[in-house]
Amino acid sequence: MKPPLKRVLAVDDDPDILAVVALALRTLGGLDVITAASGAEALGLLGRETVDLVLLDVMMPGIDGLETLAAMQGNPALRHIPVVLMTARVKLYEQGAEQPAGVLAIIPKPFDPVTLPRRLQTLWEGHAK
Amino acid sequence: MQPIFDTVMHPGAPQAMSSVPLHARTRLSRVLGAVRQIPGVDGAAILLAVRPEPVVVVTDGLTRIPPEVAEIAARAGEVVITEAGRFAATEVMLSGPVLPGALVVHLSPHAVWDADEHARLLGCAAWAEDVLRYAPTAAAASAEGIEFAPFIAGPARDALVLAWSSDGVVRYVSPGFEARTGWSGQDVSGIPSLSLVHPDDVSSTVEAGVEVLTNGRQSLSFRLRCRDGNYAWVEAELRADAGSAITWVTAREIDREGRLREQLATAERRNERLVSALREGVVVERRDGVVEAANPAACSALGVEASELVGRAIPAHTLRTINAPAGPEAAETPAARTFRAGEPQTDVLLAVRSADGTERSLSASTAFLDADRVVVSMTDITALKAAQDALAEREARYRTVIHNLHEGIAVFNEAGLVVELNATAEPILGLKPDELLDGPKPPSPAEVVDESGKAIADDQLPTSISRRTGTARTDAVLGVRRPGRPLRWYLVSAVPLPGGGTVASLLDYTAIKNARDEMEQRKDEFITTLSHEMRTPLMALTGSISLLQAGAAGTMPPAAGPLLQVARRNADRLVRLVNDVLDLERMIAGSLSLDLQPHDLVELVRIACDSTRPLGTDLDVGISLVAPTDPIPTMSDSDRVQQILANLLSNAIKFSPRGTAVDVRLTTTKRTARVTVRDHGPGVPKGSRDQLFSRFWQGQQPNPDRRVRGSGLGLSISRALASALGGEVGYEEPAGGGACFWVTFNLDGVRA
Repeated sequence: MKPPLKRVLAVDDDPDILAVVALALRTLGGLDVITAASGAEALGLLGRETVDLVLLDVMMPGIDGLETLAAMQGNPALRHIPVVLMTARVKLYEQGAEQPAGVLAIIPKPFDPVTLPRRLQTLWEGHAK
Repeated sequence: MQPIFDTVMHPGAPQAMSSVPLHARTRLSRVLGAVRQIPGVDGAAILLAVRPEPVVVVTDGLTRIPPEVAEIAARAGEVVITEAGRFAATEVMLSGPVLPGALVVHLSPHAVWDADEHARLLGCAAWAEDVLRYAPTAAAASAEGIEFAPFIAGPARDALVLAWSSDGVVRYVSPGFEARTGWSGQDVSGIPSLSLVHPDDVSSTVEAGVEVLTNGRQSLSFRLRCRDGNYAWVEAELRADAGSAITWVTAREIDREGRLREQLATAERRNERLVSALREGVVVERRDGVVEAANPAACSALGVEASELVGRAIPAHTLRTINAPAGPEAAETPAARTFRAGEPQTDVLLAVRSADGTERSLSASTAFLDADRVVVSMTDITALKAAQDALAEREARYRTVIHNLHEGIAVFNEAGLVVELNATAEPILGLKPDELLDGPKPPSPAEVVDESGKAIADDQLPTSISRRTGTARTDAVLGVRRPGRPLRWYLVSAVPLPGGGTVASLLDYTAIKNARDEMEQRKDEFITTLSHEMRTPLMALTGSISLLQAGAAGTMPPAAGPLLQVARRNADRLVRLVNDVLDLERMIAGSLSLDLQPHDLVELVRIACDSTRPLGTDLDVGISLVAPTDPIPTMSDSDRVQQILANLLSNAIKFSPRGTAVDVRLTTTKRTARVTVRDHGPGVPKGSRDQLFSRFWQGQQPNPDRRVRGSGLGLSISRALASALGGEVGYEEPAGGGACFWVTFNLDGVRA
C-alpha cells in the first residue's frame, strides 16, 4: 500500500485558477502544492522537485498540456508520475477520446474546487492499487 | 323454259275455245292462286283466252290490251281488278256466274317486278305453255270442244324489253323494242346481245351483266344500236331470273345529251353560287393578264369593285409579293408568276395597297385552269398577320427580358432535353444556344451534389421530378461541378409548362452559400471560443466562492453568508447559460455524443423528481409522481434524460404558485413511454405557443422575486435531446388550467 497523496504540482496559465486550485488543495486537502504557470515552467520544476501527481491544464500558450505530458512520457525520470488533466476543451472529454498514457483522469472545467482534493485522493488511491 | 319464248312470243288473237276442261280450270285456279300473291307485275301481261269463256288477262296495267281482248274485258267489266290486293276476284271467277266471258287481272303498274314475281309470271307462262301443249292434241281438245291460246302481250308500247340467256344470246325482244329499234324478233333472236350495244358501252354493260348475276339487279345507261345504224340512249334495269338463267333488260329511252346539258347547267349555276359564297377570293386570270372572273371575296381582298377588275388587268402598283426577291418578280401578279414558272404557286404572300392607302396582307395559291388561264385563290390574312406580328414582337420582348436576366432560365422538353436557355444558364448547363439549333440537347455532364455533398442522380434533379410528377419543385440548393471548374451552388426551381416540358430557373447561390457557410463556421467558432473564454473566469469565480463557503479562508462574518449565496447563485446561472449554449450548438452541429445504456425509466424519473425536490422545497412547491410499479427497461443516456426531465420539472416549479404541487405522470404504450409534467401556474398564453420551443424564449415569470432564471434555452435543448433519443417533447393545455409539458421515449427494440 502506497502512502497517501502528499505533494502535487498544479499547472495552469490562469493565475486565478491556479490560486483557487492551490488554495483548495492546501487548505481543504492538506496537500503540499507547488505551482507552475506554463508547461515549460512545469517541466523545469519537475527536473528539480519531486511530486506525487501533476494536475495539468490542457490549453496553455507555448508548450500546452498535451505537449508537457508527452515530454514527461519521453523522460524516464518523469514517466512514472501520474497526471490528471484539466480542460475546458469540451471535445477532449466529450468525444471519449482515448485517454493518453500516464493520465489518471480528465477533469472538465469548470469544476468545484471544494471537491477536488477528495477526487485527487481517490484517483491516487485507485492508481496506487 | 326456253320454249316459252318460242311459243308464247307470238302475240295473236286469242283463239276461240268452246269450254274449259276441268283440269284446265283447276290449273287456272292454281295459277291465279299464285298470281294472287303477286303484288304487281310490271312490263308484261299474259292473256289467257279460253273461248268462249272464260278469258283471263294478266296485265301490268300499262299494257295495251288488244281491242278484242278489251272488248271481252269490257264485257267482264265487273271483274276488272286494278289493285293487286283485289285478286279475291279470281275465286269469284271460279265460282261465279259473273264470269260469262273473261277475267282481267289488272296488276298495279307501279309495282316492282322482282325476280320472284317474274318467276310467278313465268309460272303463268308455263301454264300457258302447258295449255298450249294441250292444244296440239287438238283432236282431243276439239273433242272436248276446247280451244285456247296463251298470249303474252308486251309491256307498254314504249317499254323496250330485251332478254338474253346465260350464253349472252338474245332470246326475246318486246314489241316496243321492235318498234323503236327496227329490229324484229326474228332479226335478233339468237344473236349476241352485246352486238346491240354501242362499242363504248360494252364494258359497262358487261360489268353490269356480271353484277346482276350476283346482286340480282342492276341499272345502267347505254346506247342501243338500231337497225338504221343510229343509237338510242336508254336507261335500263337488268334483272336476273335465277330459275331460267334469263336476264331481263327493261329499258327506257332517255335524252342523254339534253340531260347532260341540263346537268352541266345546274352544276355551273351551283359552282357559281359556291364560288361567290366563298370567303376565299377567287380570280381567273388569262395569260395576257386580263381578269376573266373574280368573286366578291377577291374584289374585297383586292380593294376594288368587280367592274374595275373583270375584263382588265390587276393594276401592277396595288400588289407586291412579299416573299419574293425585290425587283420585277415582286411586282408580278401570282398568275403571271405561275405562267412564267409554268407550275402552280402556293403560299404567295402579297401586300395589297388599296386606293385609300390601307395595306392588307393576302396569302395566295394558284392552279392552271387550262394552258391560258390560271385560277388564283387568295385569303385575307391581314388580321392574322397583325396578330402574328404582335405575337412575334411580344415574344421578342420576353426573349430580351429572359436573356438579360441574372437568373438562368432553361426550358426542357418532355424527354428532359434542353430546348432553350438564356445566357446566364449557358455556363450552368454547359450548353451554347448554337448547339440547340439542330435540336434539343441534354445538359453537358456534370457532378451534381446536394447541400450535404451527396451526389444527386439525374432522375432526382428538380427538373426530372417536376417532369415526372407534373408538380413544381422550388428552391433546391444544388452544387454543380463541371470538369475543370470549381464547384458552384445554385438555387434551382422547376415548374411544369403548359403543353409539356419544364422550365427551370437557376440562381447562382455560390456567394450566398459560401457567405452563409462561413458565417455558420464563424458563429460556431465564436460560440466555442466565447464559451471557453467564459468558463475559465467562471471557474475562478465559482471556485473562489465555493472555497469561501467551504471555510477555506476561515470563518466568514455572518453577514457574508447571504452575500456569498447571491454571488454563488448568479455565478451558477452564468455557468448554466454557457453550458446550455454549448449543448445546443453541439446538437445543432450533430456532434452530441450519446451514451446509451440499459436503464429503468421509472428509476430515471424518480431520480429526476428527487433531485428537483430541493428547488421545490425552496419555493414551497411539491412534486407528486405517479408511475408504474414495474420497471420500464429502456436504452437511453441517463444524463440526457435527467437533463430533459430536470428542465421540465424546474420550469413547472418556477411557474407554480406557492403551496401547489407539480404532477408528474409516467405512462406507457406498447412502443413509447410518456412523462407528463403538469403545473397549476398561469399556463402558456395562446399567442406564445408557437415560440415555446424556440431559442431564448422565456415565459413571463409569475414571481419576479423568486430570482430563479433560466437561459431561455431549456425547452429547445430538451426538444433536441429528446429527438436525439428518438422521442419528442410537446405542450398541451390541460383541463383546469396550468401548463402541461410531455416527453416521450421510444421503447422499440428494448421491450419484448
